[in-house]
Amino acid sequence: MLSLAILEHFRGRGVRPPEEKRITAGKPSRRLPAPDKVYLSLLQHAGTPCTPTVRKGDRVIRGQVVGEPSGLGAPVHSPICGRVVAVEPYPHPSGQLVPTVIIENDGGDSFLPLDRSYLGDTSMPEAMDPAGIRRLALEAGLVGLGGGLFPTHIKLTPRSDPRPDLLILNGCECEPYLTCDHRLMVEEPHLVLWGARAMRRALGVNNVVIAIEDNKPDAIELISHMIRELPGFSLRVLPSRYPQGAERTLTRTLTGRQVPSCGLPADVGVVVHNVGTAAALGRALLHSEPLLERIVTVAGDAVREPGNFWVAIGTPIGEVLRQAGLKEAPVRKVIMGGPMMGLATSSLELPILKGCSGLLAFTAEQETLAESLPCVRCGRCLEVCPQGLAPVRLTQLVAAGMVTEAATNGLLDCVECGACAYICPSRRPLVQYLRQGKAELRRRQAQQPAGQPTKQPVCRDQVSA
Amino acid sequence: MSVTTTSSQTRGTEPPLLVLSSSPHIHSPLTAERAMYTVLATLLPVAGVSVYIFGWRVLPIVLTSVVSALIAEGVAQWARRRSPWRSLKDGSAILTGLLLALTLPASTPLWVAALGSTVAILLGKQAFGGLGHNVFNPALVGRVFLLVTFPQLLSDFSGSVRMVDTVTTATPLAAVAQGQTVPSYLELLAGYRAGALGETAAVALLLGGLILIAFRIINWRIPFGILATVAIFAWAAGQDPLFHLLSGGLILGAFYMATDWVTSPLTRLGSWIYAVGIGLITMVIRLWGSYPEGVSFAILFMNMCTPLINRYTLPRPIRASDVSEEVSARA
Repeated sequence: MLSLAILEHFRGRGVRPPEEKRITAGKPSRRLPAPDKVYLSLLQHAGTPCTPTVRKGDRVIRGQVVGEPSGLGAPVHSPICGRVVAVEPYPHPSGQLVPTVIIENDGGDSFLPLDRSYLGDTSMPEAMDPAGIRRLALEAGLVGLGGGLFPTHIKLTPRSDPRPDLLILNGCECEPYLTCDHRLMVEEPHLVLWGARAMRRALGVNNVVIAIEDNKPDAIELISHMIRELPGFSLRVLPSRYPQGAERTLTRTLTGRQVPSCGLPADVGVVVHNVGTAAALGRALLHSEPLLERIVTVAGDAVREPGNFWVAIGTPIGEVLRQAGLKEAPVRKVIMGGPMMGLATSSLELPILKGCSGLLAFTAEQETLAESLPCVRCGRCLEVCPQGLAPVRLTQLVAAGMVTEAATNGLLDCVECGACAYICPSRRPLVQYLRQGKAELRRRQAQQPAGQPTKQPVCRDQVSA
Repeated sequence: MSVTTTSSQTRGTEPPLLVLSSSPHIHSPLTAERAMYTVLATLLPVAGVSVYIFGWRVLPIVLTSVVSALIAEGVAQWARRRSPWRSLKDGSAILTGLLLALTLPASTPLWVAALGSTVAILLGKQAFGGLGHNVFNPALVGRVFLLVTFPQLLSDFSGSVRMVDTVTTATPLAAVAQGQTVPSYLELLAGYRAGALGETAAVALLLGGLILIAFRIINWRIPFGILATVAIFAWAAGQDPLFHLLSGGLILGAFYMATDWVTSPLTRLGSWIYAVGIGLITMVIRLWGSYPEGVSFAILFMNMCTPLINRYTLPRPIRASDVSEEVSARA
């Protein structure tokens, strides 16, 4: 077994940033009107971009597939009826240009439902065909909606060794500001639970643990009431602490099982799915609806009416922000996702992707970026790292170009949760250094001549829930 | 490798100019600067007690020391082609100057304070590369420099106690060494005894230290470990533990010097090792050394060990053999 000495329990680690959830947590979500144009990126999952199945000039209807996976991925569907005006490279949050299907809304209301005939008995999830559930997850275009973006049908395929024995439903939502999973659990708990039951069936496990942080009392009460009739389901209320909901952290907290370095929870028989993913699967099962829209928390001081909105995938983020009353003058930073792990964007024309749980518009006053001081060796980054790493050491090694040494010190175990950079009193961009180190390591590995045995640790991409 | 923290760009005709930066986008409000100024703030009552006990001549010493530290810092930064303003603003030089002043007797000539403070910054800090890079606590480097260069000046406590009728001119530890009468616990606590400017006011120091612990600015393990070690050692050696805790610069050293972020270990276990080491060396010097007081030396010695302590207490790197096993197991 790979050295586990560098990994410790999460307890007492992590950070407690201000939650900032109160404004949006108590407000019912609103459904935004369908936009005039959608920009359907063909890369909305971990993997390679989809192949477009439509051409410029085609008419598509709601629910129709516009991109099929080529390799690892999940299909992309049109959330509106309209005409394809372009299939071309378009800005993607990653900063690159990615093939994108652009559709102009013509106001039509036809809908192409998913085929559910292969599910067998659809009266209850426990009676459905497991392979059928996986097929439906694939055809519905489901990916990890917590931001992991890993294609769901693959995570629903049980490994033979070790066989999974536990499904964790992640409703922690430990990122500050975000309340979309919270609202989802309060507003559509039946979809969450229906989807979770199907996931359990597909994985062939008996036990499901739903993990919710203690800052969502209404969701806790509702879910605990609803699972009373469901054998095998249990609820675990966890203290609000970031990154409580990170997949490996959560697995360790709930089961005591240590996910091996560079491994996945599946390596210890645990599968973690986000509640949003479960709800989307529930919707596909009950309403034959593929992933066409998602719930997005819109917040930040530059937003007049913060709240949760159901948004069609592919809606430009500027459109969503304007609907929530963006104050354009003071906006200084727009973040897709939460403030700890989200991506700052340069353009309001970027589309909402499947994994976009939040849109935060920060004012200059909310900007905490400052010129960094030298490291003062306070050791706080060590105390908060949920992976038990030494960010201070790793960043020094990366800065010195010694990425191989950084890798042996656990660089690839970093989940980029941002706890170290959050707590750093010198405001050092630690996560940026760590990302640079990983990129450099990948670059060097790619340069190694083929056939020569690799001396560096090879890791699968980290997938966080 | 250069790290850009911000860059702005616009696309198309969008009016807002947006900041791009790596996550996280929020940060803890406790910055290094804020921590330094909080430490400074908790030292103000200590300086106040010092003025009360030793009189107004405390102020010129403190001011000289602080101003000299700032000048030395500014000049050194300028000479190293770094921004002087940025480093003067972070409060670390002020803190070094103030801490050094608090280790000096009230009779210290001003030029000695200025010299000590300049040495503290130049040799103790800037010679290593400035903030964050020094191995030794700068204020203690300055103090020990003065202690070995001007031993008479640094142990001249004559007329320093204004509150007590029977003027004791030896510090309590020196008094013990010389077989004189020693102050009572109460006198020690309140600071009515001979000693350096900042080391006598035990109550004010303890209060400040507890505030820093409560705000999580200093690591409680370090002062606790030092005090506990000293008390146990004193008891085992048949001496009065409380007397040893309250005398000399122990409390000032344990709460304000040993806890310096830069020069103390990174890990919890490391902090314990470091603290116990300081306690042990302090007592060895006090009981058997030629100096009556050993806290400064003890802290500097353990500062010296900090890189080694870090090396053995930081999370253990994965051994290359583990990695190749793992890779072949997966292949």
